[in-house]
Amino acid sequence: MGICLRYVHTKENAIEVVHDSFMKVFLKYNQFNDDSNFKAWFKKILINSSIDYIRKEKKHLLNQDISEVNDVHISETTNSSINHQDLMNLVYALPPAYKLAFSMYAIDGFTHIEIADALGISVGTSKSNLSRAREILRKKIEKEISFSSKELVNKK
Amino acid sequence: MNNLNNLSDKELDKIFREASEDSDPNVTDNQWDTMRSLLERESLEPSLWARYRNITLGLILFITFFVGYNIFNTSNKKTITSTTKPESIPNLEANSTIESNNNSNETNTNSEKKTIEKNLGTTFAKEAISKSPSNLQANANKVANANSVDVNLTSKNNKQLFQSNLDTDKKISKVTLGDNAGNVLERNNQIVNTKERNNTKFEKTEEQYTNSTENSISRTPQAILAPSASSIENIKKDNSKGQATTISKISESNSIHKSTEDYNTNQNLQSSVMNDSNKPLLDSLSFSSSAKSNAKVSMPVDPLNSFLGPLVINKSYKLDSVLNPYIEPRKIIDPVPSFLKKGFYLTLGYAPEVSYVSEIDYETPLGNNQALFLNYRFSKKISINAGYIQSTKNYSAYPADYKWVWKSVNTPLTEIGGICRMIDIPINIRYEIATRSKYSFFGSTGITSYQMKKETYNYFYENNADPSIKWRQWNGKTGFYGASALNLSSGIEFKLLNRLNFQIEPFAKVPLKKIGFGKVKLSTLGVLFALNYPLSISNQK
Repeated sequence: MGICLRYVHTKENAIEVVHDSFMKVFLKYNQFNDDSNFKAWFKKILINSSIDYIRKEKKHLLNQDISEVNDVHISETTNSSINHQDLMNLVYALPPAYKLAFSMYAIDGFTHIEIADALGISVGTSKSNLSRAREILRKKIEKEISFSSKELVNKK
Repeated sequence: MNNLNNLSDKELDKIFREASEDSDPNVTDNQWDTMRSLLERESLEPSLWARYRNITLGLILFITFFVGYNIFNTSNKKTITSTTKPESIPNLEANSTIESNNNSNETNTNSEKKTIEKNLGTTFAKEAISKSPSNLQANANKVANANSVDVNLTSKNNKQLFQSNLDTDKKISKVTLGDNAGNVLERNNQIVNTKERNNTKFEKTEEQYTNSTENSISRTPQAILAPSASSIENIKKDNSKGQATTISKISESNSIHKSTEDYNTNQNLQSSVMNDSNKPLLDSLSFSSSAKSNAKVSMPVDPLNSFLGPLVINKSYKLDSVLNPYIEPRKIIDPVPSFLKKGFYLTLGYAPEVSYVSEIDYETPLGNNQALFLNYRFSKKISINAGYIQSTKNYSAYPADYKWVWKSVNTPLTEIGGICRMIDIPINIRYEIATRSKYSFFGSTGITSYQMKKETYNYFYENNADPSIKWRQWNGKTGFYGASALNLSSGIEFKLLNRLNFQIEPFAKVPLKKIGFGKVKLSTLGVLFALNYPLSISNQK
């Protein structure tokens, strides 16, 4: 589910992708080699299904205005640090194009060429999206950390 | 984390990668229910293609047969019409126009078709009229001294064919060529068949007769006639020298027959008259002239009341055929379409197909065929072809249809999925049911043999998780199966380019033998889309 959320925008879409992935697992189970890692195989199916879904819904997902992106607030932590789920929530909240570039390159290890092929964009666009995604993530993390620090100081 | 801005991109990516692996977003019960409902819906509803695949294939088959049936019906009607058409009324549009040249020295006696050009005919008419009436009268008098001609003309306008100087009612007129120089020809759509004869015995009284004779005369320049005659009247001319001349006038019939006797004899100008029942109303017209070709005929005309147009001559009809109204109809030979000529053809095609054993499984993906055929066409109707088809067949079978070679397992076998790559070698004979100039409807049958290249069988059990299951899949190939299926197909072939045809051919392969590792009776339905290219075409039709 987390993998799909990194690719698609809403939980409803992610559910559809997970469903499609399960279907593929059932239908193509005979292609699975017993010696290989099922988790890795299933993860690959999830990613491919997510990309397929994005292709189908490309107009909606990739053209979304940045202003429509949900403003995700990182949950308050006692030690002013950010847990992993919070970090991923930041990723989920990225604009779709940036989220895809960051998820595919930074997390799932795709190259820019592969990203460009999969999404039908240029390599330059992929690099640009990745750069902007990182920039947004840095700003948000910094903002949230400073916010958390102030809250802690005020509480004390 | 406080030094986040100092992190490199790689370090930032690593942090998020670790977060991704550790994070586990909670999936609520509602979300699981949603996925379950999606799964159930998926299992209940076949895919869009599976739902409409049969309809699509059926539609293609229906359209093919419907179009082919229509072509076939139309072809039959045409054949019937052609055979019942009175042969003595030829299609003058195609065959019976005559080309006439004033003062032409040569007459091509071998030519069956001559065309009278309108301008020539008009010129002739004008010339004839322009010659002074006295001149004409003089000519006529000279002729009339030797001949007396009764001309009965009955004609009816055919407005479609004769656009000017036509009367809409039938008219009967008598033209007498005699002492009266001003013969009156009340003419309507009249067509007179004449034939130039060498050595005619006309006395030449005028200069225009001295060195020339008129080859052919057509009364109207618009003498392009349709093959439906209704009434014919005639002109009979008695020649005092024993030669009779008949000028046939065909009106409303739009057809003219010209018959001639043997050229080697004294050439008589003869015309035949035909009516609706194909009976000649008058016998013949003959006149003689000592002059050879280039005879110029000046018809006796009253310039005020008559009109001279070019006569129409058709040399292609022999006298016998004209005189005998019940002559056997001439066979109309349809030309062989260029794409159906005798010779070798190469066919390249692709065919999606559905393979099944006992019943069609909608969930099974389509198979495909890449086909290469070599055709040899014996005639317009029959050809044979042999092919090399690389085929991938996907199908499913129930255990009852599949020969199970291993020991039974604890959990029952429920289904076998087969993916077979094979070489399909068909030999077919094809018959053209109906043909047109640019397309043809055909049927084909033959036998096909299979050479297995790779067979993959997946076995599905009631409990696939049973650890005792040993045989989940089989891969291999089992060899050659000769004459394993009967090919049945029909389709339409279109002329696409000058040397390229396109054909759509729905087909069925009916199993004759059991094939493959599981010894299944594999049936196939599909549609072949192919391009035909002629390798060598005989000039013979």
